[in-house]
Parts: sequence; C-alpha cells; structure tokens
Amino acid sequence: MSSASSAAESSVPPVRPESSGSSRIWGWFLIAVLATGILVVPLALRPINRAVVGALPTLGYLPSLEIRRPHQPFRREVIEDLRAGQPAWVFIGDSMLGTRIDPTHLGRISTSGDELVSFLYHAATGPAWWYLAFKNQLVVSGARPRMTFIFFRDTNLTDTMFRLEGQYGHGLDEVASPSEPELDRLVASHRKGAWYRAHRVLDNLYEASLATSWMEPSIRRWWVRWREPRSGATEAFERNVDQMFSVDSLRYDVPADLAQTDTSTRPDFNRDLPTSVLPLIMDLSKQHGLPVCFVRVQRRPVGGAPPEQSPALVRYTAELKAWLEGHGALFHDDLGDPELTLDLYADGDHVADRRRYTEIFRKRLDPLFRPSAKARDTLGTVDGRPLDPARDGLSTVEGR
Amino acid sequence: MIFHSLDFLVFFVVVVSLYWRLPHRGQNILLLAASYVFYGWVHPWFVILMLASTTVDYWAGQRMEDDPARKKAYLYASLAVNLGMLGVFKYYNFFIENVRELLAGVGLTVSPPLLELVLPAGISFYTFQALSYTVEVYWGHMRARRNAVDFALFVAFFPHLVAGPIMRATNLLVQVERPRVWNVDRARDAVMLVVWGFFKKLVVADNVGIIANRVFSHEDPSFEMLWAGVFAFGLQIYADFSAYSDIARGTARWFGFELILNFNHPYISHSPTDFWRRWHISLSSWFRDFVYIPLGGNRAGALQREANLMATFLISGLWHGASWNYVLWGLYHGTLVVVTRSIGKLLKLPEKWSGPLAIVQILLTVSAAFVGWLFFRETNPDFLRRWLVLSPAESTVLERQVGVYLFVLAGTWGVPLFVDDIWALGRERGWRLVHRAESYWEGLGPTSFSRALLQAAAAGVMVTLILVLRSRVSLDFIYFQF
Repeated sequence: MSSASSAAESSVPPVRPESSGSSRIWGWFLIAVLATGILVVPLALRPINRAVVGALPTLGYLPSLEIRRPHQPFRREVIEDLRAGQPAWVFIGDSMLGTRIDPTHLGRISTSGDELVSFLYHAATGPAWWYLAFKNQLVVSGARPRMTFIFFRDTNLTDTMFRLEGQYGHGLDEVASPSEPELDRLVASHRKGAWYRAHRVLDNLYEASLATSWMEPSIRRWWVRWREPRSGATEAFERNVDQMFSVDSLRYDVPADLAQTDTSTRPDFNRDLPTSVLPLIMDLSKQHGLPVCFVRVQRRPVGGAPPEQSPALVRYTAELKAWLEGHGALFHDDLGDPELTLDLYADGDHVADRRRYTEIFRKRLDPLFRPSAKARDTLGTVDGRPLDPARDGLSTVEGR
Repeated sequence: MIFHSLDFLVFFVVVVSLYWRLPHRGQNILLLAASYVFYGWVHPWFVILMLASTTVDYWAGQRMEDDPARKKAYLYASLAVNLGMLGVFKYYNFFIENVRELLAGVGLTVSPPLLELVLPAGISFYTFQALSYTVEVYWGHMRARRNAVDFALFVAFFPHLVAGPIMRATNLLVQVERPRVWNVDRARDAVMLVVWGFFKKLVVADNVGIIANRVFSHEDPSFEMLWAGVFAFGLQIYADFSAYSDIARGTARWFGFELILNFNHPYISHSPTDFWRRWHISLSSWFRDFVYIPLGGNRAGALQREANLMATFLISGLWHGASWNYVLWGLYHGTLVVVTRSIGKLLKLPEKWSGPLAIVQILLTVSAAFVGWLFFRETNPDFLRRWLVLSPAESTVLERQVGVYLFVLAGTWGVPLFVDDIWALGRERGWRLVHRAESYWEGLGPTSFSRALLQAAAAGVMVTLILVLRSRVSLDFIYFQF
C-alpha cells in the first residue's frame, strides 16, 4: 500500500476505549436519566393544557378513533335549507362531485328548468362524511328528493377509514351528532392494532393532541393577530388565504386530489362490506323512502383510454353493483364513457368543465330526469315501473 | 423502510439488541442482513441492483490488484456498471425525451420507447460510494478487499444508505473491518443527534414544506408569495436533509460507527465557496476528489480551473435529478463561486469580512443560495421562466399580505434552525457568551450527571414539541428522490 493509502485510511476516527465496569454502570444510569427526561418532560403538557383550555374536553362522537380536541359546530342550517327548499335532487360527495356537477346548470336543464338541486358536499371527505350527511342532514330535514346521488371513486365507498383520520377527519364535525355509535362500531373494527392502542395510550397520557389543537393555531396565527388584533380579522384573513390557495388556483401539473383511494390492498367487496357504511346508508334509504343512486366516477384516462382496471377491481365493481341493485339502489359507472376524454379533466381525477360533465351526466341518466318521473317514484322504480338498469341506461359499463 | 416509522423503531431495537451480543464477524453478518431487509422492505428487487453493484466493484477491485496491467479496464467495468445503472434508472427517459425534441427541431420524428421504472431509493448515493472504492483502489490509495461480507456491508450499511452521507471506502470500510466497542457516552450523544434530527424533520421541515408545496402548486403566485415559497423551501431542504444525516449519524453510533459530518451550518457561510464547504459535505468532497481534481483542479491555468469548476458544478447539478432545472442550479452555483472568487481577487477583498460587515457578507451569501433554490425546486421550465420575470408591481395588496404572512410563518417554523445557526456563528466568531457556555459544557465532562440532566431536559422538550407540533402531513425525505 502506498503512503497515500496510509494517509487516507488514517482519516478513520479512532476507536474509543470501552468503559470500565463501574463507569459502564454509571453510563447506563446517565442513559436512564436521558430516557426519563424524554418520557417525563412531555407530561408538562397536562398542566399547561389545563391552564390554556381549562377542563379536559370529552372524547367526541368517535371514541374509537378520536383524540381529545375541541369540535367544530354541527351545520344545522343545512337541515333548514333542505326543509325549506325540498330539492328534487340531492348530491353527496367530495371533490369528485364538486368538480363534476354544476347544480345550477343541472337545475336549469332538468325537467321544468327550475328544479332545485342540493349539494351536501365537502372536499376531501370520505364515506363516513357522506353517511353522516345523509343521516343527520338529509333524513332529519324531512326532504324527499326524487333521487340522492352519491359520488365515489373505485373502492372508497366501502373504505370507512378513507379520509377519516388527521386533518380530514375534523370535517366530520359539521355533519356528526354528539354520538354516532354505529359509525364508531365500524371504526373500532378497523382499529384493533397494538400500535394504534399504544398511540392512543400515549396521546391520552401526554394530551399531545389537545396541546396541538391550541398551540399549532397560535403559531400559525400570531403574525396576523399581531398585525390586526380586531375580532374576526384573523378568521377573515385565513378565509382569504384558503380562497387564494383553493383547488381552482392549482397549476395544471399538480394533482389536487392527493389523497387517492387506497391501492395498497387488493380490492375485495365482500371483505370490506361488513365494516363499511354502505349497509347503514341502504337501511336509512329504505326506512325513509329515499332512493339512492351511487355514481362511480371515471378516474383520469391514461394514454387516451379509460384507466386500466385490475381483475380484482373489475370483480369488486361487479359485486358492488349486484349488491346495490339487490338492495334497491341504482348504480351508474362512468368508466368507459366515450365522452369522458382526457381533455375534460383538470388535475388528477378532477374535471375541468363542470357544465360539460353535468350535461353528459344528465344525458346518461336521462330516465331519472324525465318530466314524467317527477311524480314521487318508489325506490328502485322509474315512471312507476320497476327499474330496468339496462333499459334505462344505468347499467355498469365495465369492459367498454 | 423510513426512519420516522414504527417499523423502523422495532427493526432498530431488534437489530441493536442482537448486535452487541455477537462477535465482530457476526456483527457484520447481522448488519449486512439487516441492511438488505431495510433496503428491500418496500421493493425487494432494489436489493438485486445493489448486489449487482457490490459484486462488480468487489470483483473489479481484486482484479485491479491481481492484474495491474489491465487495471484501467477493470475500473471502466466498474464505472460502466455503476454509472450504467444510474443512467438506465435515472437518466434514460430524460435523455430520450431530449433527443426526441432535438430531432423534432430538425424535422425528424422518432419515438424511442420510454421506460416506466421506479427510481430505486438511494441509488445515487450507494453507487457513488461504491465507485469511491474502485477509484481509490485504482489510484493505489487502498488495498482491494478480500472479504465479501465486509465489502457488501460497506456498500449497504443501512443508517446512511438512502440519503447519505456518502462515505469513502478509506473511512467506512476500515470501520467495518475493525472491531467496534460499545461506548455508553457516545450512545447518549447519539440519542441527542437522533432526537434533534427527528425534531428538524417532523417539526421544521414538514411544516415549512407544506408552505413551499402550496406555493409551488399555485398557478399564479404573486412575487411575494413565490419568494416566501422559495424561502420556505430553503429552510425545508436544509432541515430535511441535515435531519436525515443527523439521524443516520446517531443511528450509526449505536453500532459503533462514526459517519462524517454532512452539514456544517451552511446558512452562516460567508461566500459561495464556503457554502459548498458546509453543504452536503460528503457529496461536495466526492466531486472535488473524483471529478474536479482529476480534471486538473487548481493545477491548470486560471481559465481551465474555472472551466473545471463549472463542469464539476454542472455534473453535481445533474446528479440531483434528470431535469434541466438541476443543471441550471449547478451552473448557477458554479457561476456564483467563479464570479465571487474573481471579484474578491480583483478587489483584493478579505475572504472573511469582519465586524458588522460579516453579517452583510453572510446575508448576501445566504440570499444567493436561496435564489438558487428556485432553480432546484421548480422542475417545470415553463413556470420557471414565468417566475424569473415575476414583478412585485403586479401584486395586489392581499397577495402582498399573504406573501409576507407565508414568509413570517416559514420563518417562525425555522426559529430552531436560526438559533442553532446563530449559536454556531457565535462559536466560529468567538462570541464571549457562546464561548463561556461551551466552556461550561465542556467542563462538565462527558460523564457528569449535570450534563446528562441538561441533555434529558433538552431531549424532553424536543420530544414534547415533536408530539405536539409535528406536521399532520408527513412528507418523505426530499433526498430520497435523488
């Protein structure tokens, strides 16, 4: 080996000698001190929380999932609006709905040209939100629309946990009642892991989430509060910021729907059905005579063709359709619709031209919008006769 | 496997518990197996690529020594395999797309196939590390290694595998080969490094990253919003990347390894040259030793030297990603270094200004580095062109307010970084308060109870803040994509 070799290899840090027996015990003691600091210091959050937020908030409507945090108010005005408006059509969903259907335009082009279309819509939500909106707003309002449309993607209709955790889950506050035992039961069935329990134990011990609920907004808002201390100014500014960064402002090369449906597990309808909200929605639908049509949106086309469907997904969709139709619901699948081409899409699975989609939707589901169907139809019927999905243009179109 | 996951926590506890019960050779076998599990956790086929690189470099090193007459051929074989892997997985599509556009420009239409490949995590890091071995053997700086397990562990050592630091064979391989000794004081320091790393990643980087992502997702940000986003990204990439290095160094210490310092407070640099002595040190020094110096380095004439420097920065930019914005970023930094050095020489300015001017010098350097982050972050050339001509005169009052708000918000999340950097500046510039505090700290000695108590309090506060303020949107480490 050359002298350069010796020089280069001498850059290696020297081996530090092993500690002696007694000093090793002392060393381990000091590590224990460090570990104790890591475990004990966060307990200071408890008295700090008491000082800042007072009494410990109760667990919310989903005790199986939730951490202690202040909740947003329930949106009661939606019930009043539904009751007063008695809409002919109600749409429930997330941005898949919001970027597709233009309610005003649909109202104009349907039947008499002035029918009210109501939206129970919240971006970045999942089936838990849709179920609660159906149960706590639509059913409670007493409104009896001719049809309620629920928009979804691929498998997320039976994925109860979809957008239920973290920041997404807080949106549920506006549609949840103080207690939601049935939804909580479903959530609990998904939350049995040791890690999850450990996380909850730690969170309850340290009250970290409660501390987050006041500390994070304080950091986010200090500047605005300092600049504009008057009441309501911070909220107004935050609304402006949200507006400025809304989905409409996103550039074309950025997908807005970042929380995609779960593709990590193999779709399996029969596995997911028992822990999904679907049976709950269908029970309510039957009890209250509210016909429902589930609309599976077509995801972004790839290379000029509809997105590829795995055999498992094809099977899942067929089983979902059979189950829904067996329970008296309608099912419409956008997949393969020749008019839903790539140019219609904005980013990800979002659609850029709501009016155009609305017209296509209106055309495809024409039987439901026919003037003669204005009279109250019973569940699963059109024009008083039993619904024939194939005849009425509502069949699934997988494989097209 | 990623550091901030429960999978890793269990993995680490199991491996470290077994590790210190084994003799030296057993430790290396365990670490090698653990490294392959770590690397192949999500995509097991990644390990096959790594094995290919390892096998070829191990073989080439030995052949160079056994057959010195043909050692250049073996070096080329190693270069071809390592750079070939990088070329296929990282640069093939970029190359094809550019060739296609170039030919389209002269009226020729060709459509060679594009590959739909997942870029294996860390490929840029471990191939460069493995290459350092064959080149060092070729130069005669070290002997070829004859123990396959040791060599494979040198390539695969999991704590720094995915995002560095890029260790040299002359350093890490030697550590692999010699017995390691458990040192409880170093283990305690390692915990502090890991906690500080997680704090930087989860509290600072992920929170400012949300701001940067929002701005760079906007179709039409105002001038103020754009530069607030650039500022946020500058903080994010430093916090994120240095966090990974700290966690890697801390984790390695628990196995008795010492990885090199990869970031030395780059945002207190006094010149662009100084910035590159402090930023991603392991990569900068790799390019210095294996590209810049072989090109001629400082030995050539002034013009050739600057050309070598520009070439090195260009390649360094391209190393970061197959996109023209990274090339631009490299050229921008090369130009900064060349221009500031030339101006300094022309005006006979001292390398390090003193007094209040020192702050001005640092602010100028850091501002220039932050401008560079625009080139780094914006991968779409259409948008980059727009951002470069964006004017504050076009902003509305609200847009200005939102820009300032985002800037302040990013700065607020960045406070721990600023404190750390100001402290380091005080250390370098000999500020009395810092000097006294550090003397006190050193005086406590590594085994004192007071020192452990202070560390416990600091670690406890950091963990508390991680529990409370960690971003609800967990972002991947940025350098995973390289």
